[in-house]
Amino acid sequence: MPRILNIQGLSFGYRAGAAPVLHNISLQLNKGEILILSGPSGSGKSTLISLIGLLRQAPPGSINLFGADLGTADRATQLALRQRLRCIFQRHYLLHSLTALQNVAAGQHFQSRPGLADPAALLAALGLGDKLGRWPEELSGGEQQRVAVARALVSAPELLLADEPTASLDYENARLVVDGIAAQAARLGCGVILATHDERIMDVGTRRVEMRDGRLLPG
Amino acid sequence: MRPPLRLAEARFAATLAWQQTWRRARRSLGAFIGIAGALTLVLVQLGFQAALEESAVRIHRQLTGELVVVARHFQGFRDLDWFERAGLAQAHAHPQVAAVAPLMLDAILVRDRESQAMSSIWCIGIDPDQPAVRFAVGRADTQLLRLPGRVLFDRESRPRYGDVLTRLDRDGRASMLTALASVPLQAELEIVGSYRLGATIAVEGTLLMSEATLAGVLGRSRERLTLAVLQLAPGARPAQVAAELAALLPASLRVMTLDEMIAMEQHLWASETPIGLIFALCTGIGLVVCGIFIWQLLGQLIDENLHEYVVLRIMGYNAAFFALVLLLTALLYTAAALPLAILAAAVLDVFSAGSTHLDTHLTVGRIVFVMLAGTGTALCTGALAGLRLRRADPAALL
Repeated sequence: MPRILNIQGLSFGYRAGAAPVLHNISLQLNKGEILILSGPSGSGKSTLISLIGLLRQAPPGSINLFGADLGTADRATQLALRQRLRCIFQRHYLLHSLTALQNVAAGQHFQSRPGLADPAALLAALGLGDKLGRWPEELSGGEQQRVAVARALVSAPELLLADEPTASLDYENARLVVDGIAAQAARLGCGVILATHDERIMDVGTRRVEMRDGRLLPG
Repeated sequence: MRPPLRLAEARFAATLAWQQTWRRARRSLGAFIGIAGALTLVLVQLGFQAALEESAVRIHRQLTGELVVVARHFQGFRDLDWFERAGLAQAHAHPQVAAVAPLMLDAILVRDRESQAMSSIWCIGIDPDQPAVRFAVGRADTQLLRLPGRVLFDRESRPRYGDVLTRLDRDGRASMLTALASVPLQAELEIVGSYRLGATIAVEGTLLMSEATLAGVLGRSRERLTLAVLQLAPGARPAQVAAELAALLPASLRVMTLDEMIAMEQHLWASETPIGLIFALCTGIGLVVCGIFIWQLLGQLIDENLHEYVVLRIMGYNAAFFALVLLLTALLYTAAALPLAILAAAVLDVFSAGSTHLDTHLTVGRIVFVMLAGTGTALCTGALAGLRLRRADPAALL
């Protein structure tokens, strides 16, 4: 399987000279793989996700994404890389002035490459085929999060980063969300890093690594 | 190379702007009314300014010729200068000049006979056989002005002259007494008719009389005129005749076209009185207030949707997209507020025209100006709001 992500010896602190919050992280992800990044709150999962997702500037030479070093990538390269990955967060962050379908379609308006999914079909595949025209406030929390999943996947990303996507959901909805992610990721062949401390959904991953105090635990 | 904004992105920006405008219409009502109020203020200010500037040339527009002769140092109707009638001899002799109509202007004080109240009024002294003002041409009562002390009263004067019109309409005549400290005997002015001209920026009302009557009232020589109106022969070119007369007339006189005199008068009021500055400031303040309301509205919008916008940003939507969303939102609010502002300004104009006797009415040009100025304000405010969004840090927010 082609490698999407290669992290080698990553250490990171929020400010220069500050104590690092990530220590010597090394991690790889292949296409089609679903990696569960587990660990308690404050263990550094979200920081790692934000570095991979280009929300923070990574140190040079430590994170290689789609063959590019995130620490030295120029702005154009960063923009191009962002087109190939998507993030899902604990909150859905749907625009309240757009319907479910419009929110999902927002995930691909700036894309012109082939292979993009049909927003309505994707929502239907996630069990929301009858709620295309609903406003976000007319949907339950689980449905809102599934719309966010559809928005992330509609542009057929090669990497999906999900940061605690089920933290505020009950079991049934959490299951629907992660099963939806797994099924669509498998269909698209995209790699997934799912950061969570929710033991109920660990089984969805093809591999699991655990973090504590900014370090990956061996094994 | 990727264009700043693809068509699909622009369409999405328009959809987002439109839907977030109407979806939060109720919450934005206060700011929306504020924008409409500020635009109303601008429209009304511009209306007043135009009405005042136009009123300043109300008499000018009634002059019956294409050229005017005035004293060399004539500074407009605000500071009247005079010249000797004899200086017009060369104008009479010019082959392209068909007629020369003298005009004498001055402000006097009059006392209402009933109430004894004093008021200032402008007197327009004409030659009844050769009226220099259009509204006196061809009227039977203009000929009544040949008799000394007979005058016509402007029905559109501001209501400062007692019940003159009531008495005139009831009895066919009314009278006023002059009240000039500089003359020993006050004259009685018998009002034998009326006309419609209207108050101006500086004049509450006018009386039309013969130049002989006016000279008698003022105790000055009939030979001292304020201006002379030259009616040209058919086909004559005013600018050319003006140039030729300038060389022929005495150095103490100045000849100009009617259009030049109108422009000069309006320029004087706009630039040499506080009026121009005051109205420009008020218009500017109106636009700033409009901008503040739009800013507040866009600020609320950004606050409410900051996380969502940041998610779009990390998905790949660029600054141009957000700028377009904010600009379109600002424009939509402005465009929606404009009809309300036009309606309110139209009502205020009708009200103020009734109470000020100024010709305040909305014009297409003024509406277009406010549309453009409002659009400019919306664009500037939208651009500033875009900068605020640009500074948001995704890592800190998400």
